[in-house]
Amino acid sequence: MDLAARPPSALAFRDVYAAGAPFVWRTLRRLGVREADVEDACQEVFVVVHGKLATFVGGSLKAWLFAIARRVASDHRRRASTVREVPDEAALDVAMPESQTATLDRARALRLLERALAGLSAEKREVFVLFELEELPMAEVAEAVGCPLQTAYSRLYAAREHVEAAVARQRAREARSLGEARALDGGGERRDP
Amino acid sequence: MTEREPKPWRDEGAPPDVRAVLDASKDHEPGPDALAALEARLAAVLPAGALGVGAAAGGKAGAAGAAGASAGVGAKAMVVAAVIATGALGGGAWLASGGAGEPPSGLPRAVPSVMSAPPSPPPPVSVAPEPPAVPPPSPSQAPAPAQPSAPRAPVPVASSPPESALLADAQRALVGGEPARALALVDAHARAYPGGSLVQEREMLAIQALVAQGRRADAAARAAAFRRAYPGSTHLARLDALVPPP
Repeated sequence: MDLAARPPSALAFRDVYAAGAPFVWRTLRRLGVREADVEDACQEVFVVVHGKLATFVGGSLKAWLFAIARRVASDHRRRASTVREVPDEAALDVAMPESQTATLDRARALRLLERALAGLSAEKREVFVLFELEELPMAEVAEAVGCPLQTAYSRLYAAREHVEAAVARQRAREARSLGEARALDGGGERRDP
Repeated sequence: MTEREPKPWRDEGAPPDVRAVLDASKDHEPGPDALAALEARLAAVLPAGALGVGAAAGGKAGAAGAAGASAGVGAKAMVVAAVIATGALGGGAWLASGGAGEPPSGLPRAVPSVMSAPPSPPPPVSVAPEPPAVPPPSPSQAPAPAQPSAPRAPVPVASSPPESALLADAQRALVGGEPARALALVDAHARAYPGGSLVQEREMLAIQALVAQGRRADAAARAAAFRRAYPGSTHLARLDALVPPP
C-alpha cells in the first residue's frame, strides 16, 4: 500500500489504482475540479496512468500520479471556466434556516477552503495542496511540481499568506451578513430567494 | 543552503479559523460508493483484467456470487445499484454503471480525452503479468466466474449526468442514514447548479434530510418555501405527507 516503497518493476496497474485512487480523487478536488466532475476526471487520470505505467521509472509514485492529475485538472478547469460560476458567497445562505448553520459549518469550511485555493496561482496551489493537505515532505513536493526546493518553500509561504487573508476576509463577510439577516427578521426564517 | 523543513501549518502557526478550514479538506476524500462507481467505469474502458479479477462484477449489478479479488468494491457497487433503484430519484439507474438502460440523452461526458498525455500506443502494457499483491481468496480452486469473457465492450462509458449524480449521492446518504451528509451534498448541488433542472428534487431531498434530523421547524420552513415556489409541483403530495401544510 505504500506508494513510495515499490520498485517500478513490481507495479501492476491494479495496485497503483488501489493505492492511488483516493489520492488522485482528493487531489483533483483540491486542484479545482468540481465535485460533479471529479469522477470523470479521475477516470481520465487512470486511463492515462494505464497507458503510461510502463514509463514510470521509479521515484515517488505519488509525484508521478500528481503530474498526470494536475494536467487533467488543468484541462477541466479550462473547460469549466467557459461556464464558470464562481460560487457567490451570499447565495450560500439563501433559504437556509439559521439553526441549520451548525450542521453546515463543515460544508461551509470546505467551500471556504475551495475558494481560498481557487484564488491561488496554479503553482502555489499545487505546493500548498501537497504540503499542507497531503502532507508530503517538501522534497517530494518539489519533485511532484518540478521545481527547485527553495522555490517550493517560497510558494508555500506565499500560499499560506494568501489563504490566511482569504479566510479572514470571508469570516468577516459572514459575520456581517449574519448580523444583517438577524436584524432583518429577528433570527427566524432567512430571506427568500 | 536549504531551509529547515517546515511543519504542516495546521500543526504549527495556523490561526484557528485556518485550521478549521484545512481540516475540512478531509471531506475531499472519496466515499466507498464514489470509488466503486469509478472502478466500475474504469472496468468498462480498460482492457479486461486491468483492475484484477472480479472488478468487472461491479458493472453487472445482478451477478450473484461475484467474489473476486476486488469483490469488496464490486459488492459496494451492487449495493449502490440497489439503493438507487429504491431511491426516490428517477434516472439514477445509470449510476449502477453497467447495463442499466441507456444513458439519458444530451449529457456531457466522459469518454476520456486522453489528451495532453498520450505518450504510448493504445494498450501497450500488458499489465498484470504477476499475481496480484492481494490475491483472490481461492485462486486455483473454483474456476472464478468467467470474467474475462464477460461482455465488457458495449458498456456505454458515456454517461452519468453530473447534476443528478450529485443528487443521487445525496439520496444515498439519506437512505444510508447520513442526513447531514445529504444536506451538504444538496448544498453542493445548489452551488454547482443554481439554475439546474433538478431544483425541486433537490429541495425535496433537503426537506427529507431535515425531517430525518428531527428538525421539524427547519423542514417546515423549507417546505413552505417550496410550496410558494412550486405551487403546481408533482411533489406536493409527497411533501404534504412529509411535512403537513400549516
